[in-house]
Parts: sequence; C-alpha cells; structure tokens
Amino acid sequence: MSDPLKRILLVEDNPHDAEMTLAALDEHHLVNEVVLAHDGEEALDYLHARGRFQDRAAGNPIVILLDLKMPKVDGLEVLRSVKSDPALKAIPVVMLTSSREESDLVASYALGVNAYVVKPVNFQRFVEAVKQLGAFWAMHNEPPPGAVYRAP
Amino acid sequence: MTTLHRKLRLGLGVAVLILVAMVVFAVRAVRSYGSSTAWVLHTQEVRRTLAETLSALKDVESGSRGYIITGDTDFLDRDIAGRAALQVLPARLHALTADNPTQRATLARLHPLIAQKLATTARGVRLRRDGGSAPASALVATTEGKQLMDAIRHLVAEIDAHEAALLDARLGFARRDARHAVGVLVGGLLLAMVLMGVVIYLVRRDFRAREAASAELRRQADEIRDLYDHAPCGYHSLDPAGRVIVINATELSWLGYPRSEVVGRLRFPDLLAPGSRSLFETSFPAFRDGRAIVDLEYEMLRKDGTTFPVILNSTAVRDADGRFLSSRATLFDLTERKRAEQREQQARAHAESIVDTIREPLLILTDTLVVNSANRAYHEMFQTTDAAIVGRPLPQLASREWDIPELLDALRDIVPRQTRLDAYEVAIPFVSIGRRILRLNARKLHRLGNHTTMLLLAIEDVTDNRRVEQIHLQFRALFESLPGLYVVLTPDLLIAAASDAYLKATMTSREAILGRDLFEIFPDNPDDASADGVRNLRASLSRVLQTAAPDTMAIQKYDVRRPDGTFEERYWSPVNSPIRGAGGQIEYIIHRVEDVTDFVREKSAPGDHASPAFQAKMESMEAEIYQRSQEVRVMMDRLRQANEELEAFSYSVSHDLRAPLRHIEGFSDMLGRHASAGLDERGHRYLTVIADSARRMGTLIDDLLTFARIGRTELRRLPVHLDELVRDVRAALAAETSGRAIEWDVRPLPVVTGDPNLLRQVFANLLGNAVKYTSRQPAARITLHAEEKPATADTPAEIVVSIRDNGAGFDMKYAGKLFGVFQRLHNASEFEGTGVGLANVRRIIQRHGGRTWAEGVPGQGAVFHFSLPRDSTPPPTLS
Repeated sequence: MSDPLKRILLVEDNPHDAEMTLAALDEHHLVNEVVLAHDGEEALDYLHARGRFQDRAAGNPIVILLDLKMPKVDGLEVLRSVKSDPALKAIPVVMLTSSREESDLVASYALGVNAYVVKPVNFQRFVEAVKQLGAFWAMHNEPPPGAVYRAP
Repeated sequence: MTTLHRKLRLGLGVAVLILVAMVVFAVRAVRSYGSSTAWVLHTQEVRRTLAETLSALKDVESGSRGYIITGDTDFLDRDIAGRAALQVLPARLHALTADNPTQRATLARLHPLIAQKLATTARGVRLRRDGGSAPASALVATTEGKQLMDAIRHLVAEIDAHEAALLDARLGFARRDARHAVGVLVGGLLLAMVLMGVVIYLVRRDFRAREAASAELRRQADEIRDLYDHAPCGYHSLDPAGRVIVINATELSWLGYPRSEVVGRLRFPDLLAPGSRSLFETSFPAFRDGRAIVDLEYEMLRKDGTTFPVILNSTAVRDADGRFLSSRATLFDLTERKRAEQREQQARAHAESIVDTIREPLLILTDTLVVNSANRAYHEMFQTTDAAIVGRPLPQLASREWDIPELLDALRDIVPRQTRLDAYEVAIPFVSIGRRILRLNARKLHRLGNHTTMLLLAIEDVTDNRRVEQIHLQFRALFESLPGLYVVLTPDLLIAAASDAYLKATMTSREAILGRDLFEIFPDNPDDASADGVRNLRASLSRVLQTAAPDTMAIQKYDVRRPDGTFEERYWSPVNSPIRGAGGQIEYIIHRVEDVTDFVREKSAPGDHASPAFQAKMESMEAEIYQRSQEVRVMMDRLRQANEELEAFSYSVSHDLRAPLRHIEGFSDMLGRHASAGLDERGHRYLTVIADSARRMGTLIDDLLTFARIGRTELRRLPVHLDELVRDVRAALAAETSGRAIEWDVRPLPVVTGDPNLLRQVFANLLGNAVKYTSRQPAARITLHAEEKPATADTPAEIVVSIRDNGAGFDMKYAGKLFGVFQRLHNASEFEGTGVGLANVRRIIQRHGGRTWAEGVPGQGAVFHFSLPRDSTPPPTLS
C-alpha cells in the first residue's frame, strides 16, 4: 500500500460521541490510526509529544477533529494554540460540534479553522458526515509536510 | 569691388598725368639745355673769331713793322697772311652777331678801325719799298699806329666782354631749367610712389575683405550643411529612378541605417512599409511629370523592421529644359502627433462620456447663446433630442421659457466680461415638464482644437430639494411647537432638538442646550442624596440603544436646576424611543417626558379646594401610584434579567439536550446493525421508534433554538431582493418537490428593507408548508404574489405578500392558534412538523414591523399573508 499512514487526532470529551465517531470512521475503513484525546490539554500534550504522549510515534496527524465544548482547555483554545504554532499550523483542523451558535462559528473561522461541522442528531447522517470528512481530509487532501507516511 | 575699380582707375589716371607732365618737363628741360649749349658754342665762336681777328691784326702789324724796320720781305709773308684772314673774319663776325644789334653796332665801329690799320700799314710797306727805310721808319715811329691799335683792342675787348656776359646769362638760364627738370622728376617720382602705395594698400584691403567674406561663406555653408543634417525633420533627394542620392542624418537616425547602406544603394520604397510602397510607385512617376507632392502620409520601415508614420512634401529639381533631375523631400515624424491625436481623441471621448454620465443636465452654448451640445441628462430632463435643440438659440428653446432677459444678459456677459454665473436660482414654468426651480451655474469654456470660446451651463433641478427643505423647516417648526415635552438625542446622548414646551418646563433655552451632553445640562440635584435620575435615565437610554426598542420609565424624580443654580423638585414620566436610519442603525433617540410634579405634589401638599378626607384619599392614592410605578420598574428590571437568564438557559439546555439524543439515536442504530441477527421484527420496530423519537426531539430542539435566536439576535436592515430570496428557497426545496407535480405561479416581488436571513426563513417556512400540505394533492398549485398597499389611517404604506396553496387547508376557527408555538392543526401522522415554523414566521415579521394572518378552508387550501412596512423604518411618533 502506498497510502500515507492516516493518523487522525480526535479530541472529544464525551465518550459516547467519541465512540460513535470512531465507529463511523471504522465502518468506512478510513484510517489506520485514531488517537483520542479526552480534553484540550491532552490534545496539546499529544501534539507537542509531552506527558503521556512523550514517546509517541513522530509526525503530525493528517487532521484534527476537535470538539468545541470541553473541560479544562476548550476547543477554541486548542485551535488558537495549533494555528499560532509554526510547527502545527499546517495541520487541518475540523470543528466537530453540537453548537450552531453563530458566535462559535465566527470565532472558529477567525482563528483559522479549516472546516466547521455541526453534529447531526441523526446517526446515519452523522456517519455520512464523518465519512465525508474522513474521505476529504484523508484521501483527497494532500497532507501537509511532516505528516507520517507508511513506508511502501 | 566697383569702388575699388574706380579707385584704381582714378589712381592710374593720376599716375599717367603725372608721367606725361614729367615727360613734358624733361623734354623742355633737355631742349632748354640744348639751346644753352648752342649759345655757349656761339659765344665761344664769336670770341674765337674776335681773337683770330685781333691776332690777324697783330700779324699784319708785326709783319709790316718787321719789313719796314728791316726791309726783309719774310716779314711780309705774315703781313699778307694777316691781311688775307682779315678779308674773311670781319664778315664772319658780322654774321655771327646777326642776332645782337649791340654787337653789330660795336662791330660797325670796329670795321673802319681795322680798315684804317690795314691802310696805314700798307702805306708804310709801300713807302719802305718805294722810299727806303727812313720815311717808313718815320711813319712807324709816330704814335698814330699805336693809338689805332689801342682803339681796336678796346673795341674787341668790349665785344668780347659783352659776349662773355651774354654767355653767362645764357648759362644761368640753362642751369635754372636743369634744376626745374630735376625738381619735377623727383616730385613726380615721389607722387607716383605715393600713388603706388595707396593702390597697394587698397588692393590689400580689398583682398582681406574678400578673404573674410569667403571664410564667412564657408562657415555659412557648413552651418547649412549641419542644419540639413540635423534638422528636426528628415530630408532626402531621389534620382529619377527613385534611388536615394542624398539623405540627412536625422532621417537616417529614424531609419536606423548608416549612410553608406542607403545612399546610392536603396530606392525610397525600400525604406517604406509594404503597405506604403504602392502609394510611392503611383505618386512618384506623376511627380516626375510635374504633379506636386504635398502632405503625403507614408509608413516608414526601420532597419529593425518596426515602422513609424511620416508626412512627406517634395519639390522637383529640373534642368533648364524642365527635365527632372532629382527630388527634394522633407519628412516629419508623425508618431508623436498620431499619439497626441489618439490621446486627444481618447481624452475627448473620455470627457464626452463623463459629460454624458453627469446626472446634472449640461448645455454648451456659443457666446451668442446658440446651443452647441447637450448631455444625456439634459435630454432626459427636458425630453428633447440633439436634433431639436442644437444650433438653436437658448431663448428659443422649447416654448421660449428660457427667454428671461435678466438671465440672458448675465449669460451674455460671461465671455466678454470674464464673469460667471454661480448658483443662480430661477423658477421657470416649463410647458413640457412643469414649473421647476433651477439652480444655474455657467462658466466660460475653452474647447480643444478650434479655439472658440464656449459657455458651459449646468442646470440643477432643485425643485425637490426646495420642497424637502421647506418640509424639513416645517417639520422642525412643527416639532418645536408641539405641546408635549420632547428632546431628540444623538446615540452619544447629545441634545439635537427640543420642543418649546420642553425648554419651558426645564427652564432652559435652545441655545444653551443644543449640541450639549444631556447629563451635563441635567445633573442630579447635589443636595438630594437619594437622587437616581441620571442613573435611571442613562440605563433606559442604554437599553434603547441595545435593544432598538422603546423603553418606558417609571415616574422619576429628577430635579431641575434653576437659572440661579438652585434646584427645583420635579417628577417626570419619560418614554425613550429609537429612531432608525435607512441602514437600520439607531440615529436618534426621542425622549418624551411628562411633567407630573404637580400631580405627585398634590398628594403631599394639602390644597384648599378639597376636604381633608378627599385630600387624604388623593394623597394615599397618588402615593400608591408612585409606589406602584416604582414597583413596576423593579419588576421590569427583574423581567429583563429573567429573560436574559432564560436565553442563556435555553441555549445551554438545548446544547446539552442534543448530546444524549444523538447518543440514543446513534447507539440504537449501531445496536440495530450489531444485533441485527438476534432481533425479531418487533425488536427492530422498537429500535426504529427509539431512533425516530430521538430524531424528532432533536428537530424540536433545533426549532426551539431558532425561535429563541430570532428574539435575541440583532435585526439587520439591508435591501433584500425578494425575487432572489424565493428563487433560493425554491432551489432548497428541490429535494422535497422532485417527482411531484406542482404548478408554481410566482409573480415579480419587490425589493424590501429587512434582515435577509430572517426573511429567508419566513419564505422557507411558508413555501415549505405549502409544499408539505399539498403533498396529497395530485395537482398541487402554489401561487406567490406581492401587493403594494397605500397608507391608511391605521397602517402605514406596506407590502403584502401572499402565499396560496390548494392543499389541506384549515378551519378558520383555529386561525388564532395558527401562529402560536407548538400549535399544530394536523397530527404528526398526517403531516410532520414541530409547530414552531409559523411561530417563527410571526416573530420575524413582527420584528420587521409587519403583520401575519391566514385564511383557509379545510381540504381546499390556505393562503398565508404577511406585510412589511414600505419604509421599514418605524416613523417617530410625534403626537
């Protein structure tokens, strides 16, 4: 296989949402690896390879799926941190959230988010949305330099 | 040169005269000298002859004496020789002195003496020969002989002296003549030398002048050559075959050729762009035959292949018989001119397009006020065409309405007196377009190209402005004289206007408060520790600015400062209302207030006119009213706070509610797939119900969120093209309408002012309903149209939009419930829905200042109407 090693960072505090997202991604065999961070702090630890992610495999994920409302460090803060770090800002960030609030949308785009997806209530539509996201970012989009590729 | 010739001729003439004079003098001098010499010889002859005569006499005497004494005849020989000489000599003397009478006279006396001498001696000889010696000696011994001889000697000496004197005199003449001759010769020579000097000087001077002139000539020739070569135009000459024989440096530099490659090598057409060659080949033969070449335009070809335009003039050089020898052509580079022409053309077109786009009507007039041109705006305003007005004098236009002597005089003055017409206002009753108030501006105008002076007359139609200004003034006067107490404030709380009644009530003047800060003019009473007027009024005004909604204040104690600086107790009942601008933003706040001081004070100040019981009752009532109003205010504040909390609550609740719903739905779906084999049909149905219920609740929450948001978000006011909006909404409904037979009848819709997103939601709901409720009709028909309604006593001018369908309809007795939240007239099994859609529609339309209503017949269809104010800015209420 000559596909890049498709590692996605999923940042989601709600375990049910996380499970559903993983299930949706898994159903379509979109990725080889999903790293789950349970809040913003963990997400940043992973991205900077520190704390419990000290020994993680090198390379940036090809996309970050980021929940908005989270304890400790929320999604907007993670987004700001990623987009202001020269080593990370090339990673596409997709907001995956239940908020339809315009203020959240405006703030996310102001910080440079790459896509903003409202979680649909309908699971099939959710699966569809995740599938499309995964397909776009993992297959069609050219990964940024520094993303990990699997050796041919 | 002629002067030199004349001078030379004059000099030569003088020299010749001098030479002739010198020759004459010399000849005369030589002649004179010759005669002098002859006279000297003549004198010497005379004197020699005299000496010979005397000598001959002595011979005669000495011979005769010797014979007489001695008797020797030898002595007689001398005597005889003497006598023979004397036979000749006297005659010779006579001849020699023929010219001199004095000498002749003296000679005449000499001759007898000689003859006597000869006779005496001859007698002595004869005596001696005949008589012997004695008588002869006696004779000799007498003194007679000696005396005679002395006389002779004396005469001879006299003649000799005379002759010597003559010689002297003659020699003197000869010497004088010789001196004269020498003088003349020397003088002549000197004169001739001077003349020669003068001539040499003149010739040399003339030679130098010629030298200088020829140098000047050479310099001029060089200059002409330089001029030819470096003139700002091209020059060349062609031989009869069209070959270049001379060409100047300028033309060569244009063409980019060295001279050597052109002269004698190229024909002129070789230097022309292909398109120009045929022109040359036709014009050149004609030119050789005598046709003139004037202002021919050629495209020249440079060595590098680029081209440039020139204008060419040529003259022919011919011999005495008129045969063509060569051409002499002058060329000017037209590149710049062409470029300038192009620029001018562009500039003119540009200017004309500008003039045409100017919305102000413009007339261009000649100085005699004849129309030269008019712009589009003029034609549009006066409904004319160029053909109808150009070339006609201004006073004769249309129905001679412009014939206003004062105006025409002012216009005619502009060119000669350099004046202008500024904002000249004139009311003209036009037959075609009615009475207009025009503001005229006129200027002198220099036109490019032909240097004629023109007038630009700009016509501004200020009829409407005047009307508006007048209305404006009337409105202000009306406002100021309103019986109520009104103040108009800017959003930063500066006082913009106040009614007279307000000024009177607050003991201020308009000059003192206009443009000032409200709270600077009306501060709290510093002596009243509990004064809260500034705080409460400021809070109310901030609310108006935030919510854009009117805010009624409770009765408020707000003391007023007297002109002397002390404060007077006052109670007020204020209402603050926003006034919106065209863009929806708040431009002013109207602060309307009622002075209720007397009313409030009545309760505390006992009057004389009523019974104490009544007074007491009144007081208690009023105190209660005041207290109640305070309570109302507190309640309103609480309500506002509660509303805000509710907003926040509904926001977070709907978010937090959505997550578990999502999980219920998601996991039931996953369960369905995961345990598909282990579930029977019923089990599957249960799962479906769970999922459907969760989905329905999600939709409900979404609708509720939207409903909450409509009340919360700031209303934008932008121009909205309803046509486009409807097109978008119909496109979004495509999924639901595909496969259905729906006959749409959508009429043109106007542009309104409002919030585009909210109005889109209105159409989405109403059209979505129409599609949904006609879903059971085999032939659905949906019509959409808008109607303008003029203002009535109750409603302002408005636009009413109606959406009619032939669907399920409804019973009119439920019409009142139609727009309530969660109100549904059909059950979910018939038509899906949450019952929030029409509530949203009503809320949105109400926020736009409009109304919603509906009519329906069960089973036959429904029509939903909503109205939007024509001018969606709510007009300030002045009464």
